[in-house]
Amino acid sequence: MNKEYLWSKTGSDPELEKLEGLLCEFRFDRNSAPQLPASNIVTVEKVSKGRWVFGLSFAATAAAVLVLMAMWFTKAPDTPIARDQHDPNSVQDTAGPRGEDTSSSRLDDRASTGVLTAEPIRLTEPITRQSRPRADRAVQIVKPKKKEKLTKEEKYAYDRLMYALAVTGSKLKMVQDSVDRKRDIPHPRTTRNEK
Amino acid sequence: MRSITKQLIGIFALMIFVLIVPTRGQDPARLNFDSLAGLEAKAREVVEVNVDGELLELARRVVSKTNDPDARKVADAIAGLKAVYVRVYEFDKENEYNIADVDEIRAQLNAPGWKRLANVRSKRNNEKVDVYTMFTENVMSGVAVVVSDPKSVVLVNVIGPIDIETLVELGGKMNIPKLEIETEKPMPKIKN
Repeated sequence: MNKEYLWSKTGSDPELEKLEGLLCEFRFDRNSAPQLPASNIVTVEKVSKGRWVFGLSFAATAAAVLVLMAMWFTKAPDTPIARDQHDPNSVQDTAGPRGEDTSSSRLDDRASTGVLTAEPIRLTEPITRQSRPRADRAVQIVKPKKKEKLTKEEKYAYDRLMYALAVTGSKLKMVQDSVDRKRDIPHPRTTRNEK
Repeated sequence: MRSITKQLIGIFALMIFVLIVPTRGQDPARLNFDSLAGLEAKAREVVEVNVDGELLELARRVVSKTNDPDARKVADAIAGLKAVYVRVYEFDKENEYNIADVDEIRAQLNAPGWKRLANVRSKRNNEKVDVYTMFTENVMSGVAVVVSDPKSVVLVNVIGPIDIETLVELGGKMNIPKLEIETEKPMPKIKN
């Protein structure tokens, strides 16, 4: 390969000249816009509409799923922020008189300015944890009472037994009340004898 | 001749076995509620509750698991309990049932072993309440309560020792469903 011909077109190189001849049809011409060879023209009609429909439906579904997920995360009561907002009793804040509870004030500010709804809510941590250092806050989280988890069979058995005991207890109580009432009333013979 | 004698002895032994085994299996404090079939056909509301065997053990376990102080009392009260059988019949009209069916149950309580603890007769609403207890060697082995008025019949048969005072004290409390039989509200039909 003649490098002089390649860089400054001096001398001759049959191999490069052959390549030039083959590629001359793509040569830059200031007067006419370059045209692709006929063999490279892509026919738009051949793109199937089904592919577009599939793509659009997939995108719509994905968008709907994202919206639903966002709604679920923002409105779920189990998230710390939602719990803070909806259930004031769940977190009893016993902050000092300085009123350093920046979480509530920040929430109020955001609510007043309308930022609350626009700003994305962090779901990983409650605001109270970010607002103050750990030593300053005295937050008592009220835990729900543990409920005994009973199986269906256990509940059935318990209900039956309690019902049976309730019937027995109430009837026995009825008898006891009757006996007590009789005891309270002074017997006529006794009073007569006492006289 | 010998073979006939052997056969007769075998048949006799089998008969004794057949007669003795079921009676030994049944607790003497257990009442026979077969005569109440007639009441069930006429009653508007019927409640039949049988708590015994595995069901009782399961319920006992649940009661002992609960931290409620009343439940603790109940657990202690039913520690030796073997079974509870309850029948409640409610009728639309007065005297719709045959009182003889209930008297048959009362007749069972005249058997040796049962002792009448209390009986209440109210002329105002024509109500009869009988409470019987059975003791075996100074240990309570059964309680029976028979309540009848013109529009309802209640029968309770407790097998095994039970603390009556605790039951009376806790009647209507602690998840124990309040009795609706004494009110005019309809009672759910529970069949065991």
